[in-house]
Amino acid sequence: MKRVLTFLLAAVMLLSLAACGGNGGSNAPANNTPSGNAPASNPEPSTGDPAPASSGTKDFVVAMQADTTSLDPHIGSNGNSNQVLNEMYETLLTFDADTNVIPLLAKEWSVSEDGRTYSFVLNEGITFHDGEPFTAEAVRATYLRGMNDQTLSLYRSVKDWEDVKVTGEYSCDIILKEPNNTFINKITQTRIVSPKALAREDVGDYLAKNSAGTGPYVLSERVDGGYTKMVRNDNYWQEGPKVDSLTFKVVPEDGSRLAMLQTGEAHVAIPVPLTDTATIESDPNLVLDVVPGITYRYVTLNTEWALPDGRKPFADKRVRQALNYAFDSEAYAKVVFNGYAVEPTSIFSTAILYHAPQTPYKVDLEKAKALMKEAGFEDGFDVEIIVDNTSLEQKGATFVMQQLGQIGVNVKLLPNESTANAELTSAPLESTKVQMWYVNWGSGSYEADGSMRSILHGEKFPPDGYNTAFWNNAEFNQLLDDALKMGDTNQIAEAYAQAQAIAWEECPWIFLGNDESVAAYRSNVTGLIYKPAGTYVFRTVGLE
Amino acid sequence: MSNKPNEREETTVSFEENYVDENILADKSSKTKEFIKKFTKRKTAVVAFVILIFLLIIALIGPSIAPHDPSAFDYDNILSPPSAEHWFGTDQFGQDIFSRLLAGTPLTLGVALSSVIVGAALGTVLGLLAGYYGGWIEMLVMRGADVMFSFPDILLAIAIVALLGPGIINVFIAVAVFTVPSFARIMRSATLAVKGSLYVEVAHSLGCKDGRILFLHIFPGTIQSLIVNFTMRIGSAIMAASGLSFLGFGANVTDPEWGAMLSQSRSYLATAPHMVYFPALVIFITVLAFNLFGDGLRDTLDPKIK
Amino acid sequence: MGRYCARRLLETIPLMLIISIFVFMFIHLLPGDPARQIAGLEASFEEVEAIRKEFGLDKPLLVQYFDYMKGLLTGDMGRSMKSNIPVSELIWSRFQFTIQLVFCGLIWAPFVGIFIGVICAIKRGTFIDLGGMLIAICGLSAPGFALGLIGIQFFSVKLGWFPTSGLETWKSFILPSLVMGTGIMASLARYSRSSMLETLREDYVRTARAKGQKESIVMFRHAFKNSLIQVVTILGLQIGGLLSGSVITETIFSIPGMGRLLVDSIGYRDYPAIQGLLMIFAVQYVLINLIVDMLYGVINPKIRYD
Repeated sequence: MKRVLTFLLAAVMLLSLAACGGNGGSNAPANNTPSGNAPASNPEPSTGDPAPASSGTKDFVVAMQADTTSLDPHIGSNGNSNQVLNEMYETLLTFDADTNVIPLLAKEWSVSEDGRTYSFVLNEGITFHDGEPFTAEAVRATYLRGMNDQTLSLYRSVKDWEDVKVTGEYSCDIILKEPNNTFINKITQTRIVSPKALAREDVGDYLAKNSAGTGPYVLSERVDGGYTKMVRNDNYWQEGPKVDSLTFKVVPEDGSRLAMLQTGEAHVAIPVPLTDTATIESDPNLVLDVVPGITYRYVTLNTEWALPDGRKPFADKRVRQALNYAFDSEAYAKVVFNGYAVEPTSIFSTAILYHAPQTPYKVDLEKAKALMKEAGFEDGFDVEIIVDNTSLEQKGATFVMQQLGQIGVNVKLLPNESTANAELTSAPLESTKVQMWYVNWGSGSYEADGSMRSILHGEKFPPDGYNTAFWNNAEFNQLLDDALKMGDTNQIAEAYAQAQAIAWEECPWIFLGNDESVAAYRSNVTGLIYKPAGTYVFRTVGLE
Repeated sequence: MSNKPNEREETTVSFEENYVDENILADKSSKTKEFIKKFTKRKTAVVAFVILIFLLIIALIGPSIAPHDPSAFDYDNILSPPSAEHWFGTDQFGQDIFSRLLAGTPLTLGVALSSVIVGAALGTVLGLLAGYYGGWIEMLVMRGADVMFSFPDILLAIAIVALLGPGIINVFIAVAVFTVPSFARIMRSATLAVKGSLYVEVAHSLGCKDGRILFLHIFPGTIQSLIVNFTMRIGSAIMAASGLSFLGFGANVTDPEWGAMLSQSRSYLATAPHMVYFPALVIFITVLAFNLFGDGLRDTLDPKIK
Repeated sequence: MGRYCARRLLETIPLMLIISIFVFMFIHLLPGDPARQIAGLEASFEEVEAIRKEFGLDKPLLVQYFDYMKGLLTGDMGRSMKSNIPVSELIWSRFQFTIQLVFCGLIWAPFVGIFIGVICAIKRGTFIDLGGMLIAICGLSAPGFALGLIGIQFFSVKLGWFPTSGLETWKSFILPSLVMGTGIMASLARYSRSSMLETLREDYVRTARAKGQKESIVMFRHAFKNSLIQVVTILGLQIGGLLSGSVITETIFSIPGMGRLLVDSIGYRDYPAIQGLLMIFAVQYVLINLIVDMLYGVINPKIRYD
């Protein structure tokens, strides 16, 4: 028996050792920079950030809702990944705050007459984090990585390129298979990686743990699901950060994220809970930042879905319009987004290029009922709506349910994980179970084509896209295809305006609204650059 | 002569029957009286019992006495604090929280009770068998429980959603399934403790059948563990429902299930705290009442306590 | 004893095998496709297929299972599909946080819980008993996430005493420790009270009393020690649960522990990570159960291992 007790005692000691060891060891979150991580030592955290006063190092902490999926700059394709990766990696071109394309690694560019060859002149004297100099070879190496690996999201960016020709140490041509005027927007997503790193046999493993870009911060340590910490790149080629390090911390719970901001444990919170904006505005240490977002919310109406009696309600345009007339988007913005959303004026957000305002479907229940009657559905029908199981999504879908109930359309919510929903909604027409889908879309490169093609083009029925309305309008498809090859911006604008008008009139969706990006930061933060779509750039941040 | 013994026998039998019958009857009524007497001595248990009766009544008539339609939306009146019109205030859709809590009583209690009853019944039987027989039955049950224990409930909840579609049924199944192994384990160890006691050994040596020993001798000996665990489980079932809602696998948001209400309200903690406090308070009181009642019941049932 | 342990450990091999098959089938039956998650929304069907092929998801399930087991036998748990980090490395980094969290719950809760339970049992029927049980039951009746969020609002934001997240300074341990420990404390208090009451009525306790032994010796040498058997069962169950991570505590306090890893991995359908986690959970349970079973023997030498 004694031996058992000894064994147990040993186990307990091991436990405590593990606890202490973990606490003091290298894996503990940023123990080597006690400054930013120990605001608790300040009895009045709300008076400001205690970090700079107590020590020389400044850690800038960003509280984010979800972790980046991967540190490989060519895998991540969601907003959180972009936010983190863009601080370590750079692209040839980028966007400014007004969604204009501006130079970054390339200092100038031009396009050939046939619209197929884009020539870039690169900045000189830039080095990658691994010491390799930045030259045109890096652009080619990045291109080759994408072409050789279909599993990367980079493949999607470069698959329409024919070749990358190195025309000089600091100049190159990118040749496209077909003219495509969205190329300039899309190249802002193609992160250039050091050729030395790309030549490694274990490139995937290497990039999962090291940064090999030209960005203002160098990866220092990361705990998956916990935080990603970077230190300032002292060899950065342009105006760089005024802080020593940048930490992206994963704080999934809304209330906790706000609390971290309030106590000064975080300097920026992305996003902040919309229900708490009043709290932020009344706090003198906090600044609320509201800008137009790119997230556009809608409910797809499966035009091929049939009721048990064989009738297809959403095949009838009058029914689809009736649903839009029954929906009060003003109340939607107020109830679901605490006012931080705008009424839909077209089929994508106002922050996207070539947005053309349409005549809104003002709520009109009489008209909606009349349209339903005309279409033979005056008694309404039962329908199911697929929705993600997060509280915001379910709240929105509940609102839709109540609104449509007013004209006899009985909506039943089917909340589920987004992963399970992705499977449901990517099923082809023959086997689809989609009746309605409460969803949203936004193009990270702010372009109109990216905001429409995957979700409305007739060739983008699942599983090749997310056109779960199964709406196929030849004229609309043609306009989208033609616009890609146009060179003249007026022509492009005209084509996209026509396309928007068609989709708006035909309404394969219920148009819900366009939420604004709401983030908040502490008032001692300087040099923060904010882009639409709710992404911050921390390149020049400082703390006063 | 030949008649006499017969007569005697008959009388003896009838006498015995009468004797036994009367005794049982007398015993029963006095036991009930004693039970009530003992139970009413425990003030907290009585209070808890009254609360539970009250909850039961609410569960039966609650939906019909709700002052407002629990699913009526009122967008001009969202997040309003408690008032004479809305006693517990309104939620993010302007729905009356008081009415929703009333309407949600049968749903919440029904799911918690039924899932725990089903899970506990299964778990108890398995635990008794495992503890009593030992050997391969014990191994099977206990290793089965191990598998269940090491199998996270959220994975099960997701699977159920996948199979049956989302909704309150998930909560029922998930809680029921996860009640089984914990009862099995607790009942097994309680059985082990009772098994070694004198009266079981005596019963054994008297040649009682296993089934009889199990249910007449061992089971009553474990009943206190059972009751304590049962009442605690009902509380944790209500809590588990809210936990599942927290993760997005609980009751449908449109259902006024308490746990779902509490979970949805958490983002309003700073701006409309009444949305958190009232559901939390109702859950708190309910769980409290179940636990206190269970305690009282156990003490009363215990023959050794005077 | 050594042979018993060895046998128990050997028994875990078939258990692990069953769990591995069970888990493998289970997660592959869940709707959702990791390839689509990795590919992102704009990926075409062909690109998703390419990723499926890359990860071997296009092979028959049986082949995938044997590939996985082959890796497992050579100590390779595979790579996370989401982060491309070896699963063993991923789990180890999360395990350190979980173990810290468990430790901060265990450092006070069992002791306080058992203390309250024992005192209540001894002072049965008094106001001390009532007060102690009320504390315990209140602890059980408070939903964890509400407790955590209210705690953060009050202690971190309003008072500025503790940080809101992480596990860095000693102060940052206090709030998670409170939230983690409350449930353990409460249920241990209740179980140890009831089990103490039961043992107080056992013959050996009466005998000890009758022999005129000091009350304190009777209480602690006889009653308390024997009441521990149930308490240990409950504690074992709870530690097992804690070691697989507490999603809610981890989420509220932004701690990257195993619970969140599991939920995130399930959300992403990161098959290797889910499988790896569940195998680790299984091992943890087996070990804890083994320790609990051995403790039975320490507490009550009547229980034999054979």
